Formats: sequence, C-alpha cells, structure tokens
Amino acid sequence: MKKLLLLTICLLMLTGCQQTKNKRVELNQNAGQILPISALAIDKKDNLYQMTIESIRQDSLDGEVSPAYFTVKAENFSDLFYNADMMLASRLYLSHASIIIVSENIAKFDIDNLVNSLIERPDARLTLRIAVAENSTPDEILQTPSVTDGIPGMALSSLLEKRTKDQTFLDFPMFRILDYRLDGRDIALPVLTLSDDGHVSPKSSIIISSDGGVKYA
Amino acid sequence: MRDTLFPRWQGAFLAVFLLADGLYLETSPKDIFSFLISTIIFALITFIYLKLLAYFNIRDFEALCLKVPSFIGKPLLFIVGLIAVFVLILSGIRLSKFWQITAFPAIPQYLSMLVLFFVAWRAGRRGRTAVAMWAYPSAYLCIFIIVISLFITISDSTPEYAMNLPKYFNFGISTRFLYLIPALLLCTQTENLSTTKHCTTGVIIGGLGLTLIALRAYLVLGLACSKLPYPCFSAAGVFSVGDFLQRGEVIFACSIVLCEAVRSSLMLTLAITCFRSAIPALRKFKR
Repeated sequence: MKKLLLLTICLLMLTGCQQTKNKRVELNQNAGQILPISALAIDKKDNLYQMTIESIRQDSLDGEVSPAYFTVKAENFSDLFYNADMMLASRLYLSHASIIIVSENIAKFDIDNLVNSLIERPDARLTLRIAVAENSTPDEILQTPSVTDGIPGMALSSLLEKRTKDQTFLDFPMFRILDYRLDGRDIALPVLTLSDDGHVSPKSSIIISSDGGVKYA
Repeated sequence: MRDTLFPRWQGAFLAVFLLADGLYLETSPKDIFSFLISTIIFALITFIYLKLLAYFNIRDFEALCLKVPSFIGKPLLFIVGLIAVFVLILSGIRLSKFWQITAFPAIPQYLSMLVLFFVAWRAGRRGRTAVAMWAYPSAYLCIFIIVISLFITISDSTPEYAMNLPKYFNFGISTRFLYLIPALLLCTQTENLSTTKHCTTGVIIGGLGLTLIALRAYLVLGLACSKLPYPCFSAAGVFSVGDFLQRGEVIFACSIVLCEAVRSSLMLTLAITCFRSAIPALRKFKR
C-alpha cells in the first residue's frame, strides 16, 4: 500500500500545471522543452531593443549541430527574453551562452540594466562575457561564419577566452562588471570588428566609466 | 534515547548541521568575522556543555530532564521539541525557496518542502543513531566537495578585497549559530565514550567551513554579492573546465542540500524524542 502511494505521488509530479502571477507553467517545464542558446547580440534601434539569438540545433543523430538565428524586439531587456519565450514552443536556456555582443550605445548607457536583467535569470551564467561591436552591428558580428568550423557564437567565445588568458583583454565576466559598476569603477569590454576579409577579429578594449564616458585602449 | 553514538558520528553531525547554512550565508566582511568569532564561542560552549555532562555524570539532555522534577523537566522537553519543529520548518522554507529561485521555478514550494520532510521523516524516525551514522559519510563527502570548490575558485578572487578585510574586523556573533544549540542537545556523553573532543572539533570544522564559504563569495564576487539572492551558491559557479565541467555551483549545492537533509532529520529526531518523553501517551505509537 505504501509503495502504491509513493508511486502515485511520483506519477503526479511528472505532469501538471499551476497558475503563477500571469501565466500557466508546467510543473516539469525545466526538465525538457528548452532551447539551448550559445550567444546573443543586442542592439537598440528606434527606441526598441533588438536581440538576435543564436540557438543550437541538432540536425542529425550523430551529434552534429548547427546554429539557428531569430530576432525579437522589446522596450526593455526583460521583455526581450519574455518575447523570445513567447515565440517558441520551448523556453530559452542561457546556461550554455557565454557571450553577448552589444552595440557601443548599449555598452555606454544600458550595461547596468542588461546585467541586472541577466542576473534575474537563474540559467544565465555569471561568467558570461559582454563584447562590443565596432563598425558593424552586433548581429552581423554574431552571424559571421567563423574561420574554424563550428557555431560562430561559440567560436567567438573561445576567441575571447584565449585573448583574455594571454592578457590581450582584461578579464571582465559578468560578475566582475557588476562588482565594478557597484563600486563606481571603470570597466573594460573587448571590442570585436569585421576584418577586410569578412571575419571577426578582436580589436581593442573599450573602457567605460561610471558616468558613461568611454575611451579605447 | 538509549542508543549508542560514537564520538566521531556526533562530531560529524554537528559539522554537517552547521554546513547546512552554506547556501544562505550573508557575505559582508563583518558577517565573515562574525562567523569566525561565533565558531570560537560555540566551540567553547560545546566543550563546556559536554564537560559539565561528564562532571555530573549525566548521559544527555533527556537524562538531565528526567533527573530534575517533572514539572520542570517535561515542559522543558516540550519546549525543546517545539524549537526542533521550528528549526525543521525553517529548513523546509529556506530550501524550498532556494529550489524555486534557482533550479525548479515551476515546482511549488510546498511540494519541495514535502520532499525534504519525507526524507527527514524516513531517516529521523529511526533515531539519532541512524541519522548520525548517515551524517558521518555525508560529512566527509560534503567537506571534500566544499574544499575542492573553494580551491578551484581561488584564482577568481580579487586580492585587494582580501587585503582590505582586516579593516572590517568586529566582535559580532552570528545568530545562525544559535540553531546549533538544539543539535547540541542530541549529543551524549558517557564515562566510557567521551565525545567532548570530537564534538568540539565538529563545531570548529562546520564553523570554519561556513566562514570559508562566505569568504570565497566575498573575494570572488565583491559587491556583486548584494545583488545576488544566493551569493555563496553563485560564487561556486564561476569556475569551469572546458565543456564538460561546468555549473560547479550545482555540485556544491547538492552537497549542502545533503547537509540540510541531515539537519532536518536531526531536528525531527529531537522533536520525536522530546515529545515522547514529555507526553507519555505518545510512546504507545510506533516510530
């Protein structure tokens, strides 16, 4: 009898839904139906934020993956993520995302809002790096095929990690940006640009002070 | 309550009981010093309490309550039982809230609380020997994971925060350590099996563990701690090795959740023991 009762409880936990503040959520929604994201590109156009999302799509059973891109718009960062979720039959999963490319304006004036909206998401990693696009839009940088085979966002992330290790760039993952901004100190973000042959290359660092002033290093 | 508890088991459950707080710690420099001071003070309290039990030849708290007049002893047992229930519920609330904010946002809090209480009941109803026996390997496993987690995140810490730390020194005491007192009441002391050394060591290990966990969060995240709901948990996740070892905070959290399960089981054991001693009518019910 006890075993039957236990089994019933376990079965009840496999499915079901509950009402939260504004939507119905499935009890097991975290177990499946997630869309892994490898990178994001965020820009601001006509007073609206525009986010291009690079998701990882598994096309074959032998484990080969390819990128897929889609774009959402919203008035603030939280709504960007919400709108992206609404577009999909699954849910954005930022745990694998390791880079966000933003325009210079967002880096100067909206970095705090962006970081705050990211830390509200339990799936976003604190080691996520933010890079600034120069001479191109963030989504152009993101969608440019990498020199090596693979997903462009992941290739960019590896590039930044290597250049951080060899100290070409200062190491500013998201938790350090948050720490420095709260302390009123300058932060340094890596700058990515398109080279003449159409590939993404690291250029320099942009140093952003707490009042939004910038200089390149 | 006449069960045999080996000294090391008791030391282990005291260490695990303290480490269960590892996910929810405050991380300001003042708090870090208060954890350190509290560790010293509560290690002394443990030492003195167990020495007094040995001096008066009293086995444990229950035996003490049975020696004093029943109009004092029984209400005292009943109050301690209520405190144990309170600590158990507190563990359920904080762990279920943690799960909802981090890993399982869609699972209602009451359901995750029920899971914890079920685990606590399964282990706790069998008495403190069973829980303590379970706590001993758990302590080794958790301490191993915590030490590894601390070690691999050292490189991400900010040295200047460490240099400025002595400026914030104070003599505050952390109220978190007050919850150790009910756990201490489960300790036994006999002439043949002296537990003072191991219990005191357990409190020191648990307290130092908490201090190091909070210190790591402060050194790695700095002021960002104030913006994060669980800075000690987040700080464990800043390290990764390639694509295969990521989300170190999950492994860290699993070890602390294990500690929380032991803590809840201990409190359930204490509650059952106290209520059965205070209300004799309850003894006819099987555990």
